[in-house]
Amino acid sequence: MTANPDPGAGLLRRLFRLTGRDPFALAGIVIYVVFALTAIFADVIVSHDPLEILFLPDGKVASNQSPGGVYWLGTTSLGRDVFSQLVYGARSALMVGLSAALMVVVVGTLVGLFSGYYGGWVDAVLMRLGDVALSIPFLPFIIVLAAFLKPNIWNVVIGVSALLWPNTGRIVRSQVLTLRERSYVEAARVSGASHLRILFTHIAPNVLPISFLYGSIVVGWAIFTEASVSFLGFGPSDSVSWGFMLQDAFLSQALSRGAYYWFVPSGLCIMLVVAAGFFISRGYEELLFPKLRD
Amino acid sequence: MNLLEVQDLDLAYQTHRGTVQALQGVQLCVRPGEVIGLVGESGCGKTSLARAITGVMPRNARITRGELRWQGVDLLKLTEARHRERRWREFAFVPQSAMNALNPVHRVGQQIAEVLTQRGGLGASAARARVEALFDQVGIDPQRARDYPHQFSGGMRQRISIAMALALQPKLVIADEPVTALDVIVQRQILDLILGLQKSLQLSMIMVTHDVSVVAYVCDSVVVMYAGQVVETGSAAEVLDAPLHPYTMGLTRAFPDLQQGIEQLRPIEGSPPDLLTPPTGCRFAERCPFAQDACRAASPPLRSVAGGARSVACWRSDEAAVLRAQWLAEPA
Repeated sequence: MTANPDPGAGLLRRLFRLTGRDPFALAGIVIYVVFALTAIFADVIVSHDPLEILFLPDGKVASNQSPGGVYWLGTTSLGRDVFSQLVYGARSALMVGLSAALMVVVVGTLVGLFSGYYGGWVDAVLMRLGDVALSIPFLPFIIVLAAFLKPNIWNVVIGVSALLWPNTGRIVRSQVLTLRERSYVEAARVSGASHLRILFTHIAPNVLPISFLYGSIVVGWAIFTEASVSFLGFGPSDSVSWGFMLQDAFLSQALSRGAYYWFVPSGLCIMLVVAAGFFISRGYEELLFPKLRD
Repeated sequence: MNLLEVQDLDLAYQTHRGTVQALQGVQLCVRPGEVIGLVGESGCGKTSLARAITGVMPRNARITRGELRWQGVDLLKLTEARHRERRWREFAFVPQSAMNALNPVHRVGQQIAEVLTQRGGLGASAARARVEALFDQVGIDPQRARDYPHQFSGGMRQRISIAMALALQPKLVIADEPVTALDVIVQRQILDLILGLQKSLQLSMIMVTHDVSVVAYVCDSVVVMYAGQVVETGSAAEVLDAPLHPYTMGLTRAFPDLQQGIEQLRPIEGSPPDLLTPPTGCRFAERCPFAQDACRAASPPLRSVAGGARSVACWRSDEAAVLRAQWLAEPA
């Protein structure tokens, strides 16, 4: 009959133990922390404006400079600083990833909750809507959307969330279907709780962990999609992203000139962030469903 | 005045295969301070009746006939909002199986406090004090109100659901199989707790159970249900001692007794009838060793016997003493 002294400490300790056991998850967290700090303090870290055309002391454009000296990672063919672009790229990547994930979690969870709890025509309409969204080809849709709307970063976010919410919605719905039959939900109904109260205070907290799991998968997807769209030339023209850097390098034939310092870092960053997201999702899944381990 | 009177209640479930007549012509009367045991095997309508009283039923359930009078007011004629006002304040509910009765993501104290603040109009600090008092009442250290349900054993969770039911000081507590999922020692503790609280708070209770020994231990009177109908009522001692309905005879014999040998144990053969197509005559006739042609022809009404103290729905209840002897004598 001893009271748990501090449940918060227990959670931290558990998280710590888990990351100790799962080095991949730990690596994922470290990578994310590094990129998050880079994104937050981008203004302090960069040495130059990422889109400014730089000049050498002798007045010539500082194009195709090799790494080293003032230009840590060299410059592009138009004389822009690669390192500064990389740093700002982290900011747009994380912004796209996190806001798309947030939207998917919010929309998917709400749809799943209402669909599963009310059933009937509400369920039918929402789930068929989800089927439609899932049947639309992913990348072409984003490209068309970018063509019709202004190609900016938020339209990519909207496109990604518009197509990815049904996955979360379905999973949440199936959870709600079992949760709404639990005794405590029945007890809440007998105690006079309204439907919305039951839905949001009694059922929703039970499905949040799984919505977050699906949200964490979306982070990687959104970053990857934004990079693909930018690389294909349909990306945001008003901000620097890793996909934009790759496209820039591709069009300037950086590869044939052997300017690896230009495109390898951004490609590596995309890979690292997406892989880190995957590692974290996996570790988180293991935390949620410990039985999966064996 | 009676606290609750159920009269001629019919309840049906609409299913894909047709209409299931889950309750038919059910009569029930709860006096203040009385503990009623509602017994019968699975699927005979005990839980349906308990739910009909609380007014929280599955979507496909319809009450097609009858009255549910709470202190003279027919609950079925009230609007949903007026019915809701009475829920938990006047009659509360202890759900089936302690394991699922509490929400795993909220601290237990918070779950009780929610009822107190949302329905009882208490402020946060008053609610906290009341939660502590309630925990004390059901024998749990009030310190543990900050714990989550998984940190408690089954018996303790059942105590907490009882505390939650008592939160708004209801007059009637409906307990759906309150001890079924527990081992016998904990069962005894919970039953003693329920009895103690019932006496000190002057509660009325409806105890839904399939365990005749629970009825014998706790209940003042008993209502035996079979296939959606009430087949026998009366004081617990009399009904269990000298059952009038063959089904009750079967129930009292279907549980082992420590003092008697197992040769005294006799299960009731078969299973309850399909309520999609209920038999025309007595619903127990199919399984009843004493059934006659008259039993299959027409359904026996619930008649008062023993000067109104008991009632039974059996054509042969006058011969009950002889039938009891035969039930015991007949080899299994």
